[in-house]
Amino acid sequence: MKHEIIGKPDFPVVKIYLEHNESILAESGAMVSMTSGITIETRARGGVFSSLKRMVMSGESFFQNKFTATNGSGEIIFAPDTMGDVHFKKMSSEDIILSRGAYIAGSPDLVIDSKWGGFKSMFGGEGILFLKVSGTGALFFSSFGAIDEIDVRGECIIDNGHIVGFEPTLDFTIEKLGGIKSLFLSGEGFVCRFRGSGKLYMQTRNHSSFAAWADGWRKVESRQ
Amino acid sequence: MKYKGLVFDETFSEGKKEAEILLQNEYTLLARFDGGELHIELDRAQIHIGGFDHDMVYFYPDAVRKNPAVLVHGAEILTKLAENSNPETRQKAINATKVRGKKKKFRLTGIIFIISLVAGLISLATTEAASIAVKLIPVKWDEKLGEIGYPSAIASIAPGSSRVDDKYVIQSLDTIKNRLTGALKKTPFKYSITIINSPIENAFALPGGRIVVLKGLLLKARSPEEVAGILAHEITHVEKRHAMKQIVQNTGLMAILQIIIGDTASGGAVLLQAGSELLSLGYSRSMESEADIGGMKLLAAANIPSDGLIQFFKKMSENEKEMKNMEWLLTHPLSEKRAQTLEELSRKYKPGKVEPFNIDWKKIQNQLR
Repeated sequence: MKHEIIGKPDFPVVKIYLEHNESILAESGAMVSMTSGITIETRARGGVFSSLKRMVMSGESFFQNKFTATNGSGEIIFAPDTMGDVHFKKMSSEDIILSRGAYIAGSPDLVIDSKWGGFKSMFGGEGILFLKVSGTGALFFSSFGAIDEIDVRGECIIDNGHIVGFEPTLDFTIEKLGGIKSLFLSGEGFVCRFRGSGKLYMQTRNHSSFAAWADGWRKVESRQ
Repeated sequence: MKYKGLVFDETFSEGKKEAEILLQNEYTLLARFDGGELHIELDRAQIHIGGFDHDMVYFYPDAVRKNPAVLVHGAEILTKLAENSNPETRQKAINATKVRGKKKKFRLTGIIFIISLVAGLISLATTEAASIAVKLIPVKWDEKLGEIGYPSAIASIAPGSSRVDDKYVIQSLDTIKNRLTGALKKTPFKYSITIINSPIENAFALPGGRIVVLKGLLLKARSPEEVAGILAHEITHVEKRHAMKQIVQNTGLMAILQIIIGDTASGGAVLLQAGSELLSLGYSRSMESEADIGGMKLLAAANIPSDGLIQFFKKMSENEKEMKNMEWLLTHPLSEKRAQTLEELSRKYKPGKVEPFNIDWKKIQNQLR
């Protein structure tokens, strides 16, 4: 499976070249365009309850689409929901933890499971569950803004809204930066302190900050 | 004993390499990787629990440096280290094990908490989804279900009983029924009354509009208004399609989803199959109170005094000691709270003017005896 990420880094899409009979799984609604020889099969992956769990807890779609090139080779383009970079990771029998909604598409061999992030994750603003992707194959995930890889050695502090994903060799705790005063006044709120060694994928923008900023322009109807 | 793990080093091109780790002796941990090996002195090392699932052990060279680091998959190595002859290493291993236990326990409580929360939400969602699904189910299905359910309902409640065929009794009950159904604004159901020759004091409605009244109930009631109260309650069960809701909820999410998505044929097959058995289940408490409220409203709209039902309840409860045959009371227990609510409801929903029934109740009871 070859691919090309076009339009980096602001509004990229990923173009995937499928060989005959090759498939790729994607979030529902991610498809932008495809050649006519590709067929789509929609299914609740892993059954109704797994899908419900994934949908409610990790912010993924209930149904996943499987695109297969059934008539020779084909090309298909996927886009993430928000503006921001698309990242490709070649998985070779390894695991990665993704935060809510980051997953776009991946090889059908990859196993996707929701992972409970602990009590702490309830305050993390990233959904209660994370998505654990394991196995071998191509994985595409997206960020809000650009993506940067941080090589954590020992410890690293990151704002909770900026986590895209991390390797499972890392563990994190949610904490407040500074005292109670900072919690409410510094605008930093809660942060994640990562411990261990491994890669941490950081996004350069934060959904909630953007939403808060955009909210100021929202039209509010005046009360009569 | 060899352990699987990783060695992290900034000088590696990928930052990490897979490694095979072993305890060389009681002072040294050895990690072998492609192109070299790394020794960690255990008495100087930091030992930490790590990883997203708290099932990895990190070994850092000393109290300050975090690079290079050795990571061991699984916590078995801690058990081994807890037997180490070096007291300092032993203590570190024990501490790390304790931290791991705490983290795992915390996570477990969290999981239990979340599962119960989710279970609650799902049951709520199922109730909601059931209501939506029921709206999509054609009314014909209720009738079908009633037809299928009738023989088994009679067989379980009053086996082998014949129907009452006395003209006056049938006409009188039809009069009561017609007054009530006439007060319904709009109904997709055709109501009919079947009177069964059985001493049991019971009445129930089948989905689709068939109401079965057992003779015992008519003998117990002192006036047509009391029977009207019970009929109004049962009619509300039919109008609100409680049986269908109950069945949809019990057959599960799959059937509901199939109906919502539009695959009514297979969803329906599941429903009808399970339906006749599930009919014997009582209604939920919320359905009962919905029927209480609906019944009271209906009585008021039909110009029937609404205290009949309450009187009937009270009378049955007084004789509670002789519980024999009082089936309707068994499925509709009169708790103090329910009595109170019913009385409040009857004050709230009062008929504008009372139109008494022109029915000779004594005659009915004599005919039935």
